[in-house]
This record gives sequence, C-alpha cells and structure tokens, in this order.
Amino acid sequence: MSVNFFRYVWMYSRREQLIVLFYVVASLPFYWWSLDVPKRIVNEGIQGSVFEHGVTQARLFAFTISLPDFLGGGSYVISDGLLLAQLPYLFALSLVFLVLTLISGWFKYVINIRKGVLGERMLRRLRFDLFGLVMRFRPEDIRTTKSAEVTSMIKDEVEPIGGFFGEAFITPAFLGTQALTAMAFILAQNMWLGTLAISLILVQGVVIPHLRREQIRLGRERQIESRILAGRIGEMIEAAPALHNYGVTGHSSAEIGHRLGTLFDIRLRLYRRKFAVKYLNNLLAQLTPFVFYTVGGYLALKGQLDIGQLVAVIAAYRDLPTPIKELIDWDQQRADVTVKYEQVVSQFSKDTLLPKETNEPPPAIAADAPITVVGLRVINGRGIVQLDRMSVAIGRPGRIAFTGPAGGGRDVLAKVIGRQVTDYQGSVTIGGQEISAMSDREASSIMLYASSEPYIMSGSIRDNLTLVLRRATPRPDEKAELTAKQRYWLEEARKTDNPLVSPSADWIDYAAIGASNAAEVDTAISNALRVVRGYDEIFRVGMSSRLGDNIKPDTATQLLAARPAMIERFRERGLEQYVEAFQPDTFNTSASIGENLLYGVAVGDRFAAENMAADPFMRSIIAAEALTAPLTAIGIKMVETVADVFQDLAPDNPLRERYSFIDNAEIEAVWPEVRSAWNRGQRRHLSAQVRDKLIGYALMYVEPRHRLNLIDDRLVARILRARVSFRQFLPASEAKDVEFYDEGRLMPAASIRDNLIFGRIRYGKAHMRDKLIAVVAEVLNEHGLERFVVSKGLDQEVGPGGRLISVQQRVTVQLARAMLRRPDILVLDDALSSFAPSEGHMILENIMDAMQGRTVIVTQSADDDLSSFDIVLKFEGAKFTGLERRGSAEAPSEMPASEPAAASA
Amino acid sequence: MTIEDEVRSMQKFRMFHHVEASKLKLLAMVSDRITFQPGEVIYEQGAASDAVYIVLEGQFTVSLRTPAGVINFAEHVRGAILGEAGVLCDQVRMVTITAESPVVALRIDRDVFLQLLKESPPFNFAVMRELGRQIMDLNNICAQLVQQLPQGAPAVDAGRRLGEPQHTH
Repeated sequence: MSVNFFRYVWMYSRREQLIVLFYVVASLPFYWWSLDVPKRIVNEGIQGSVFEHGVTQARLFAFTISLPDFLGGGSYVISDGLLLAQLPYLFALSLVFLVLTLISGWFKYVINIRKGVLGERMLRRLRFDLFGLVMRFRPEDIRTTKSAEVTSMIKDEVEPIGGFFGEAFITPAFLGTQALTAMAFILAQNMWLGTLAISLILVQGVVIPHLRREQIRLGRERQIESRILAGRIGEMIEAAPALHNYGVTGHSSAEIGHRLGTLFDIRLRLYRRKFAVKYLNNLLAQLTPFVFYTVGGYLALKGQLDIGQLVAVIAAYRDLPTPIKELIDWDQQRADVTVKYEQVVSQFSKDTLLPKETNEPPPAIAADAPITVVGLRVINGRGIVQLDRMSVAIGRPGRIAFTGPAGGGRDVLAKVIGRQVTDYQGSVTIGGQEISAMSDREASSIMLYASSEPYIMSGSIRDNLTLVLRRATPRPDEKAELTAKQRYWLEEARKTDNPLVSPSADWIDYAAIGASNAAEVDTAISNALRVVRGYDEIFRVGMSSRLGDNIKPDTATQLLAARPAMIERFRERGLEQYVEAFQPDTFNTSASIGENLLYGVAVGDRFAAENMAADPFMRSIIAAEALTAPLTAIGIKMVETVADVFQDLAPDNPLRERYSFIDNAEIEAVWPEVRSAWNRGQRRHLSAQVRDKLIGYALMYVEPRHRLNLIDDRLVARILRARVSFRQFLPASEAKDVEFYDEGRLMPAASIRDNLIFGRIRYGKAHMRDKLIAVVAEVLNEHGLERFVVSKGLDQEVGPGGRLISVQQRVTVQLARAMLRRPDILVLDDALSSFAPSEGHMILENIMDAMQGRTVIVTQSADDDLSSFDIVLKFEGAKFTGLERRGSAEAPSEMPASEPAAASA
Repeated sequence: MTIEDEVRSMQKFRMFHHVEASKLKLLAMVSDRITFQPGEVIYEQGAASDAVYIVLEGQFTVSLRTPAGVINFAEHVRGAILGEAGVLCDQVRMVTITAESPVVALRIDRDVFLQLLKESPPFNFAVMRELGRQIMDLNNICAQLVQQLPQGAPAVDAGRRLGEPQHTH
C-alpha cells in the first residue's frame, strides 16, 4: 500500500478523476460566458451601447468561426443571428444568462455527484485494504494490537480522508481554473484592478497556510490522543470484571478523566487557532472589495473604466474569493488529510506481513512428508529464549506427543508448527515448504491448530461449526440472470477491488467432507460431534429448545405420532406414574396453580408467570371464581414462611433459590402491611398492589415442591372452574397470547421435550427426570426426529464470543471443527485442558481413532499416559531433551502391568 | 406430608437434637422429598456424589461391590444421613444404598448442602457430631474385627480400596 496519499489516489481512481476533470474543463466556457453576459446585459441591453447613433436593431447570436492564418485564414459563418430591438435584445440576453446559470448549475451538480461517488469508492477501497493488512499481520503482531484502536482507525479516522478523495485532484483543478478564469477576466477588463486583486490573494495564500501549520500539528495530536483513548476504553471494558474485583475502578476512572482533559485541552487550542485564522481570512477577503469600490469607483468616475466593466469586475471578484478561499481550504485539508493518511497507513505497515492470499490451489504436500525442524530457536520480544536451538525430523503420519512442563518448549514448538509463532530462527518445513512462509490457504489445507482458547463468533452453533468449511470461494455464476441491484453490487465491488462473492453465497466446501448438500453437512457435523463426545449435549440442547412456528408438516406429524408412542413406552418401562399428563378436567398437582389456571403455554409476556396476577382479565377471572381470598391467603402463608425461615439469610443466598420469585426487597415492603392487616383481622384492607403481589406468589405455588399443605379440594374445584371460564371468556383477539394444551396439537412456544411429554414430571423421585428424558430421546430417534432435534440444537445462539455456552461447549465446538475438516496434521495445544482428565482422555482417544493414518500432535505433561503415541518429544523448560520412538501403540510392554482393566476399556 | 411433618420427624432424630426447629424447617424447604420403593437403588457405588439424603422413614441396605463379589455389610433404619462423606470429600459414592422397605428421604443437592453447612452452625455441628459418632462406631467395629483375626495376618491399609477398580476410560 502506497505511503504517499496522492499516489494512492492516482493509482486507483485515475480514470474517474480524468472523467471529472473533463467535466470541469467542459464547464469552463460556460463559466466564462456567465461572467461575460451580465456585462453585456448592462452595457448593451440596459445602457444600449449598441443602439446608439439611431440604430434600432442589433444582431444577436451571430456565430462566425475564423480559422487562424496558418490554416488559410478563411472564416465560416455558422449562424447569421437575429436582428432585435432593444427590449427583446435585453430579454434575449437575460434568457441567455438564465440558461447559462442552469448549465453551470448542472455541471456543478454532476461534478459534485461524481466526486462524492469517487470519494466513497476510494473510502471503501481504503478501508478494505486496511482490513486486509490487519488480516495479514503475523500472529505476534496481532497479539500486541489493540482491537479498539484498529477499529477506530478503520472506522472513524479514515472517514475525513474519504471526503477528500474526490477533492484530491479535482478541486484544485476546478477551483484553480475557475479562479484563473475569473482572474483572467478581471485582468482583461482592467490591468490595474487585476494586479491589485492578485496581490491581495497572494498575501492570503502565503499568510494563512503559515498560520495553519500549528493547527495541523494540533490536529495530529488530537487524532493520536483520541485513538489511544478509544484503545484504553476498549481495554477497560474488557477488564471491567477484574477492575471491580480489585476495587480499582477509581483509578481507571481517573485515568480516563485525565485523558479526556488532555483531549479537551488540545481541542480548545485547536478551536482558538481555527477561529483566529478564520477571522484573519475574512478580514483579508473583505479588504479586497474595499479596494475595488474605492479604486474601481475612482477609475470609473475618471472615465477610465465604464460602469458595466466595474460591475462585471465586482461580480467576478465576488465569485473569486470563494474559489480562492476554497483553494486555501483545500490546501489546509490536503495537509491535514495526508498527515492522517500517513499516520494511519504507518500503523498498518509492519516489517513482515503474512503472504497474500491467492485463489490458486495450493501445491500438494505428500501425506508422508516429514515435519523437518532445523536449528529452530525462538526468542520472544524481550530477548528471553523460549525454545533452545533444536533439530528434529518428525515422521508422518504418526501420533506425536510433546511432553514437558506447561509453558515450556513443548508449547512453543506446538505453536510454531501451528503457525501461532512465526518469528523464529532456523527453519521448520513440511515437504520443503517453510511453515511461516505458507499462505493461509496452503497451510490450512494440510493442518489445523487448536488451543485451549477457542474462538467462537456470534451466531448459532451450526454457524460456528461450519465456519471451518467456509473456504470454497464460490465462483460467481456467469450465466445467471442478475437483477439490476445485483449488477450494481457486483460492479461496485469490482471497482473497489472488494470480493465479488457475497458472504451469503454458499461458501461451504462440500467436497472436503464428501457431502453434496446441507443435510449431508448436518450428518458430517453429527459425526464430528460424536467423535468429540459433544453429540448428546447438542441433542439435549435441541430437546429443550423451543419448538418454534416454522416446522415442516411431516415433522409435525411425526412429533404428534411420537406423543402417544412415548406414553406407551413409559408404560412399558413402568415409568408412566412419574409423569402427570395434562388433562382438561383434572388438577395437575405437579404444576403450579397459575399453570393449572391457564392450562396452556403463555406465548408473549402477558400471561408469563410473573405477569399473570397483574393482568386485568386474569384478575377478573380470579375474582369471578371467588379465588381472590384463598389465593391471597396462600400468598400470605408463603410470605410468612419465607420471612420466618430465610430471615437470617443474605438476599442473594443460593438457599433462597426455590423461593426466588419472592424477592427479599418485596417482602420487606409487603410484610408490615400484611402483618398489621392480619393482626386486625381485616384481610380486605390490603392495598390492591400488595394483594396482586400475594396472588402472584400463590400462582407460583406447587404443592409437592413447596410442601406447605395449602391446596384442598375446594380450591382445586374452583381453580378448575376458573380454567374453564378463562378459556371461555378470553376474547378472540387475545387468544394469540395463550396456547391451550391440546393433545392433538403441538405447542410452538414450548420446548420439544415438553411437547412430547405433554405433562409434568412428578416430584418425589430421584433420577427419574434423567430416565424419562432418556426415553424421550429414544422415542424421538425411533420416530426419525433425531436429525430434527439435533438441527434445533445446532440452531442455538452462542452469543458474542460464545458467552451463552459453557467453556466446555466452546472447546467442543472447536474440536468438532477440527473433526469436520480432518486435516493431515492436527495440533492440539493444551486443547483438552478444560475437560476432566478422564473425559479429556476419552475425547483424545476418539480423535486419534478418527485421525487414523494422519498426524496428531498433542502437548502432554510428562506424567500423562503416553501409551497411545508413536513418537514422544521430551522438553525440559526451553530445552528439547530427546525423542523417544515407540512401537505400535498396542505394544503390550507399554501397558502398566498393574492395570489390566485399562487395556480393554 | 408437609414441611411441618418433616420437621417434626427430624426433631426426633438423635443427630438433630440440638438443631432449632427453624433451621430444620430451612433444611426441609430447600430439599425435595423423595420416595423409594423396596429394591430401588438410592445411589450407586461409583456414581457422582450429587446429593445428601436424610432418611425419614424406611429401611435400607448398604452394600459394596468388590472383585470378589458383593458384600452387604450393614442395614439401617430411619434417622440416618446418607452420602455426606462423598459430598464433603468430593469423592464418588463408595457404596450402593438400596431401599429394603419403602423409604422416604429428603434429598439435598450437593451445593445446597454445602451452603447449609456454612449458613447454620447448629446444623454444621449436627453433621460433625454424626460423623464423629460414625468414626467411634467404626473404631469399635474395627477393634472387634481385629480381635477375630488369626495371629500374623497382614496389616490393613487405608489406601487400599475394596471396591472394584474404577475404569479410567
């Protein structure tokens, strides 16, 4: 990328700039005429200079082209023009003036639009180039880059540069020629006045930029300071939990406050400077008319200048300061922008960048080409030796362990081979290719690196898994009919060297996993998840995710068919007593009072458990069925119990979890009123607000869970009556807020699991939930719904950086990515450390089985079980201490004799 | 059976003699009442220690699977606390507990149990006393068993487990 701003602009927008320049040149004659015509209107039309001496008609619009002498000197009459009297002559000239104004305006419009488009295109290109550069930073450089600073540079700092792209060549050309035209015009009218104007302008042109130098310096300072501010704010937001933890937010606030102060100071000085310069500039600009009026007036009075000329000169001059002023502005902007540009570009130029990505297929590297390490030595930025000089040849395929203490040479070598460290001495080659010099495409086609810190991007789990397959670079379909909009998109991308293929195109590299469509990709994902033992988890997630509205009709049929089949299966296994099915005329004791009343799933917020009691319709039903008093009593009893038993516990004590719907703060607000009303025996005198709260608590009550013995047959009967009237009187327009339980229909707002169980799991049995869910999974599989459930599980959102899923799930996603790709070489750098040792070991075994015939490199601690590796490289700190070749992994001599059970497991 | 009933049952147990009723109520409120049919396993040897049980009613057997076969070594009745050692030491279940007669127990989740120990000194004390009593009983049993051993039998070792070896993978 060119460090010189003008070279960069010229390189990529030559054609556009020239086109606009052409428009500028084409507009000049009209500009000249639009200056000339007012003079003729005054002199000829109004004052009648051509109608003197009794001439009544004058000729207008006569055009004659005279060839210069060296071409023969002849003259050709194009038009004889019109003979007009004075009044029509004036009107005609005025009309000409109007037309010229319109034409000039049109030129201005076209030039501005073109300039704007040109600027936007260049801005897009610049931003994309900068982004491309960041993407080519070496891993070491990336680690020392503050993302917030880079973001602020790409997003905000180049913005003003974008506005200037269109101005870079055109403005000086346009304004310069305009000013020159005006100057020439003034000079043509009167030598004296012209010279005077020029000298004043020269003074302006010399003094002002000089004054502005300080302004530019301050501007640069402001840019750097605000970038650092952005970086620090970004850092502090990321570190916020730690800052709270140490209680040092005060210090960080002070730092930000100080930075803001510095910024304020710079900005203030900048403003002072700016307006001082502006003041001077205006003064100089106003000085010229003063000279014109006095000197021009004097000359006119003396008869050396006619009035028309003076008016024209003044008119030309009125136009003149604008281009000159703008020209000075342009120069100011130029200085400003080139500084900014150079500043930003220098931030993005590193001594070494990763090689540029190409679209050519990478050279094939033989599957058994060894990894050859010759004289490798790694020294970090502070001069500490991280890996001492070592040479080794690692044969492939093989199962290779790097052992030694964590943080030593074993991790560094794994990172070098995984291309996380590219700044090393010596060489590391695979099949003759230097690892650090490979392009991403080359390297990623043979190997994959996985660390303990997986990168998860926002999106669904599926998006995150298929991320690893998005390398097909789909070719734009040449023959396809493009809509105007698509054509426009494509054209613009081409003009700015942006990628032509839309990110929403199908980027999946189907061939790499032997699939041909999305469904087969799902199969491959399932297989990959099975290898890394994450499949059951995804299935469980799928089962507990919302069924959703848009399910295919045959899936719906299958789900409905699975419902009775599951009840049948529960019966076979003797499990049916542990599920209490929803029945329209029976009170479900395992569900809360509110759920029993609603007898359905709340779709929106209106009938959600916490809002139900406050809903006017629900309240009216409760009142109509005489439930207000008993429910209030239940609520009082619950509050009483909670207040009594939990009184000594802190509000956030986990023991409160079961009654967490009763907020401690609420109790404190409600309790005194309840107690005093209770003491006076006047339950009616509770305020409506408190009563709503109490009823709300009561609606959450589940007898077998809370066990306060508050539900009797009379209450059950009333609730069942209320259930009926609720359904009966619910206005049709509000029916969308509830999905009533119906054995023959699915409930999109409920989870897949709840849709199948269609009831509540009873309390009072240990481990029953797991058993029942296992049966649900079984039945789902038998009904061909496994794929559907897994697909739902894969749809789960992971949140920014994967914050919505657990650390283990994140690692599972990363390992599953590797298994989707099955690279020739897989480097697992501490990648299994978030799992319990036994689980990690099982995953590793599975991965090694799946990678049969390929190479797996794993960092292990020295006392791990190394029996399944072919080659073990041992490290002590930064030193490579030796290589141990082992026979086949199954060699019995490697097995610890004391544990025969482990061999078969 | 309500929480009040559960509290009344627990008050009769020796281990909870000195725990005030409000703490027992808290204990009952944060636990689930679970029933087991005769023959049903309350927990399995080698399973994760995810909860502590307080048996309110019924009879159960404690058994240990060893490579040499299953040893049923104790039978207990209500009033016992089960699985607290595994939870406290973060170990898997050492033995299998099976219901003999219908068993009613309060199940307290591992984390809730640990929180409860922190929260209520009398409860903490009750659990400690129960553990201490168990150690004294075991010492007594050990002494009796050693008495029955022939002269010159090898010494016992606390590190050696009688249970089946755990599968590592």
